[in-house]
Amino acid sequence: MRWLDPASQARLKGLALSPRRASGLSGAPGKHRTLARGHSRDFAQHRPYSYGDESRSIDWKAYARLDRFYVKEFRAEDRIPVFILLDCSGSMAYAGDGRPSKFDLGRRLAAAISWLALSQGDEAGLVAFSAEAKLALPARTGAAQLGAVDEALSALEISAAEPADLASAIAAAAEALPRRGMVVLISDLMGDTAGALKAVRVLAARRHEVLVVRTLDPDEREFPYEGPCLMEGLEGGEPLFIDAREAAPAYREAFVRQADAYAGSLRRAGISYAVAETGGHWEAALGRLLSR
Amino acid sequence: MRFGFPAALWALPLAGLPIVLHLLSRRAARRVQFSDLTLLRAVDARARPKARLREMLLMAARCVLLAALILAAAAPAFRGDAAAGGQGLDLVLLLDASYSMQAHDGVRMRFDAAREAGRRLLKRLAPGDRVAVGVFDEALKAPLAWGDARAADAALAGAKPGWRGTDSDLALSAARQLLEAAPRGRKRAVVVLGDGAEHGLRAGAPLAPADGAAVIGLRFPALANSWLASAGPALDSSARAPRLEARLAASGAAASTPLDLWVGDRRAGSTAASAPAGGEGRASLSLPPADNPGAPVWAGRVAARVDALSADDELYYALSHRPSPRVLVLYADPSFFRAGKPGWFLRELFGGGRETLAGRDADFLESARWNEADLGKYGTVLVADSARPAPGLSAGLESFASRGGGVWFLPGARGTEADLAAYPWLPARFGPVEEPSSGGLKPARKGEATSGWDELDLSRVTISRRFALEPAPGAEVWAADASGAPLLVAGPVGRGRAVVWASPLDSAWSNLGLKPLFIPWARACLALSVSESAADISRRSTVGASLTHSWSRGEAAPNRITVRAPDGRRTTIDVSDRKAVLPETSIPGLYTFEDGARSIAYAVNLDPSRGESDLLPSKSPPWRSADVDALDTVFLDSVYGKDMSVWLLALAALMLIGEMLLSLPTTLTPLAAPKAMAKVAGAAALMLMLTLTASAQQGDRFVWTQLQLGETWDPYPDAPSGIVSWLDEVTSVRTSPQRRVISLNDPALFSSPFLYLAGASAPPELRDDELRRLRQYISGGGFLWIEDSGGGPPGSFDRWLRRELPRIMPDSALAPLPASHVLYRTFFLLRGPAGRVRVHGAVEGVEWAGRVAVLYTRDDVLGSWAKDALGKPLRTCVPGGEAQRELARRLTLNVVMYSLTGSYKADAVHQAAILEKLKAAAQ
Repeated sequence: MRWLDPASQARLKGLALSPRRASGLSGAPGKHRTLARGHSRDFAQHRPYSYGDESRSIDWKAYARLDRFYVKEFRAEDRIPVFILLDCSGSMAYAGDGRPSKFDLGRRLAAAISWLALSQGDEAGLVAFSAEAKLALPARTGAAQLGAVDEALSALEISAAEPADLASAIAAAAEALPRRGMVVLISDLMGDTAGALKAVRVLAARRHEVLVVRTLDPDEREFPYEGPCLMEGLEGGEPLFIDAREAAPAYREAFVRQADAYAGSLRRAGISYAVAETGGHWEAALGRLLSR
Repeated sequence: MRFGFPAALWALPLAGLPIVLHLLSRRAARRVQFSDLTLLRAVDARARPKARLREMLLMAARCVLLAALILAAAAPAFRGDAAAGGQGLDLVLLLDASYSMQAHDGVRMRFDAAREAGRRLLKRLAPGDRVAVGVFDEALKAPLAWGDARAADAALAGAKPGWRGTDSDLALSAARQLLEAAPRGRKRAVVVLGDGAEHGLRAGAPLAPADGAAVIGLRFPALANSWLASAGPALDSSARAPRLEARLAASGAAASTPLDLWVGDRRAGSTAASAPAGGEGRASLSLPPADNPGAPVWAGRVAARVDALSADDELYYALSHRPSPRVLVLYADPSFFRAGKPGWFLRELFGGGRETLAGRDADFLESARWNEADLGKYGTVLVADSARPAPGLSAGLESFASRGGGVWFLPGARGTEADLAAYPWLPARFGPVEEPSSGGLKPARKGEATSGWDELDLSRVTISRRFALEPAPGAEVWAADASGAPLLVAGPVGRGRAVVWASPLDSAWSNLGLKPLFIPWARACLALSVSESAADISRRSTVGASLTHSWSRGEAAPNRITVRAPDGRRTTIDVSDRKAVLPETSIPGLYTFEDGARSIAYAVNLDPSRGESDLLPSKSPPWRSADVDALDTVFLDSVYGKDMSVWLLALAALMLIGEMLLSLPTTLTPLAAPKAMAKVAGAAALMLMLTLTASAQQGDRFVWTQLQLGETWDPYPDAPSGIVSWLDEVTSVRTSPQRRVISLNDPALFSSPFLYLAGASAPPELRDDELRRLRQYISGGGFLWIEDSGGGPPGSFDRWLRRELPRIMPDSALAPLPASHVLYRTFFLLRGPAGRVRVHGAVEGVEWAGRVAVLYTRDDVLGSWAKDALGKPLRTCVPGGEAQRELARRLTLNVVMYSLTGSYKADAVHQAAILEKLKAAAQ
């Protein structure tokens, strides 16, 4: 497995991908609580017997106490598809010195989340988006899916095309989702903040359970450059000539404002959000994301 | 602006170096790959205008700095007229030695001031400089020649002011010629040490000295001056009534001064004179009678009051008048004075007690007593009634006339031809008496004596009887009657003259005495009787001109003559061609030509025609004017130029400071400083407001406030954020994500309605003021949740609390809350307490005013919230596990909701629903 190693697996063991709301989903048996009534071991409630119910489901102890026929109802357990939306735009290719690129981090995160989903019996799928979205891997359960995920991740590349803005990219990704499920958006969210937030909320409004992981490089937060620089963006566009020493404070401030905006807005929208940096422990970020 | 070192100006393009460097730095910028430029672009767009401005200012400051340094290195000099020259200085000093420089301005003479200024200037010269000194008044006293500073100083020291006028133009053109002849490449300067008066500059716009030369002149404050313009005989002055007329002129201010008249060494009179500013006034002085009536000569001076310029307040005069000596009238007998007789007419003529009409005074004497008279006193003897002459009279008269006197002969009515022949020396001989047929007379000669006769009607003068006159050879006939017979004959007798009239004055003989012709006739006779007399002469000259004295034909001219100058010096000059010439007069005064007995004075005065006494300064002199004391600075500025390099260096220093300030990091730039300070001020004001107002709620948000008391007050630092976020999620309470930590003395205590205190070990004992504050807090409505986070058997914290609480709230005690307390129903429906541990059956609380004000739990409720780095729960809940954890979380929420909402869930309206839910849950 290229994108998931046993050490990470050990650290991530015990995390659970559980949707917050019980959602009436596919109907296929899985781990999660749903509102539907089905067959599981969890007792939901007693219901008075009515004609047509199976006689197996009559609760005889209740009949003994109350002298009336009650039927036990159990909760149905469902499995959910977990779609991983991986940002493949040019800015993800940025790598600080000595650190892996954000894209690699994103791929590791995608592999870890797929493994978590698959190990609890859910489906895992992969959607890669930059200017247009592509369903790189349809959602399926099973152990073999993990290998497929790994291969699909390795096959992904940073798209060299001129990107559209982030909002339309996420919207395109949302279009590519085949059915409702849990969506984990892995992106660096660099771009138009308001548009991206709107697109993510739209995504959540489609009854997806949205989790957002922001991959960043410490350089983007610290801006460690000095002197006059000709900045070239990885996503193309005109190079920008700045004096790094003068622009750094304002940039850092703007970055912090953007980060706070994302954190606050997503939390208010009820979307789990975590920031993973390439130099740090991404497993902890994943843990924070999943334990909210 | 002139530059002392123009080669440095070639380096001026270097001042553009900062711009070039700036442009190059753009190219030299390193290329950096960055992930996304959106933020950077936004930041740059916002900061660009300010940054660009700062950049521009910085570059401008650097360029100006470099330019100022380069210009300063080029040694600029401002407004130096001579600064373009090279090394060395050619200086021409022109010292004005005219008499106007003798003006005294109360401290010292102008000449001395100018000379001192010149000598001070000489001290400022460098060793390689050349100086030419010229002392000038109307001309240069010596030609200009180059010398060194010492020679110049000696020349200046030896100069003295003179008595001549000023001609600055001449001196300036001489200086110009000298400078033009000098080699080029040196600085040139001409300094005129004069008074810059208008009188010295005639030519309007005079030639400027050689180009590139600095010309400086002195400027003195304006002085008003008054002077005597002239003192000479008045128009009506004569030997008998000599008068002097003096004219006083003033400039600058009106003047009025007393005038003193000196004749010789004696003061002879005074009067007052006044003149308006810029004009003249006249005064007349009467001279005393001459010492010698035969030679009425006066010489002396007229002195006005001494003012600023004393040289022109004294004027010398030397004048002589035609003498008009008395007349001696000789008559024969007392019947001479009877009416109709000549004496009657003559007495009228000579005044008879009043002013004489003939211009001379007369004494009457009987001719028989003629010896008694001193003939030397008289200029003319009028024999008015000649008959038989007295003994010796004819000879005496002849000798009188030959000595220079005049004889006027009128025949008497009783005179006979024979009597009249006793005077053979007369210019005419008397013939027999005739009775002409026609009357009238006419002048026979043109001359000054008969000049006024034409206006009179001469035809009405009838001479009925007369003697026939036969003029002697050499005599002149001045008047004849109608038939041509001579009536008036005049001729020389020895050195004198005699005049003969043909007819007695008796009215029987002619009516001349009654006619208007009588007076002019008498004057003419008297004039004719006087030998060539000296005319009215005023002997004057001006200083500097030569004096010439010439002898008239009648006088004997000596071979040599001595001239005495006013200062006492005597010069002997030769007389040639009856003329003696004194070549030069250098000082004003009376120059006396002494010739044995006689001495003739000439008055030599200052030349007023040049206007030298007018001390008003010229309004636009052709040089740069400098005050006497400021000559040095003006000279140095003019020749070497005002040194601008100091200013340029100061500008460079200023630019350096500006550049340093601008290139400081952005947070400290002067442009950002006001904004930063405004921000700081605004933030300070806001913080002040925050601490004053009830900011605990941060609006209306719930803030988890934790009390910092003791050492173990914060066992689970991350738990509150989890609690608050869950609270935000589950309920509709608006929360603030940051917890607040305060101490008991914090003023924000009273802005935090919910307070949490945890501890495992006992905190220090509470002080009295802290107790008081806590009591105030609780009684004011605050909710305090105290938790023993040890979770085990009661420890020191428990003991401490049970000790302190009665001190805080003496009236109430800690009591366990029953399971039916509304606390277990405020949000979730709970059966009982839970926490990380579940040891105790109930929580305890202190009731106050109907609510639980202090809640004490010992089950470590917050411990169930603790999470590790991965987000998994840190501590396991015993014994219930995750279910217990869930219950603990619910209890936390309930407590918070209880603190916020109180016991409203205990209201009756909620009871039914709660009961139902409980029942369903139980099943």
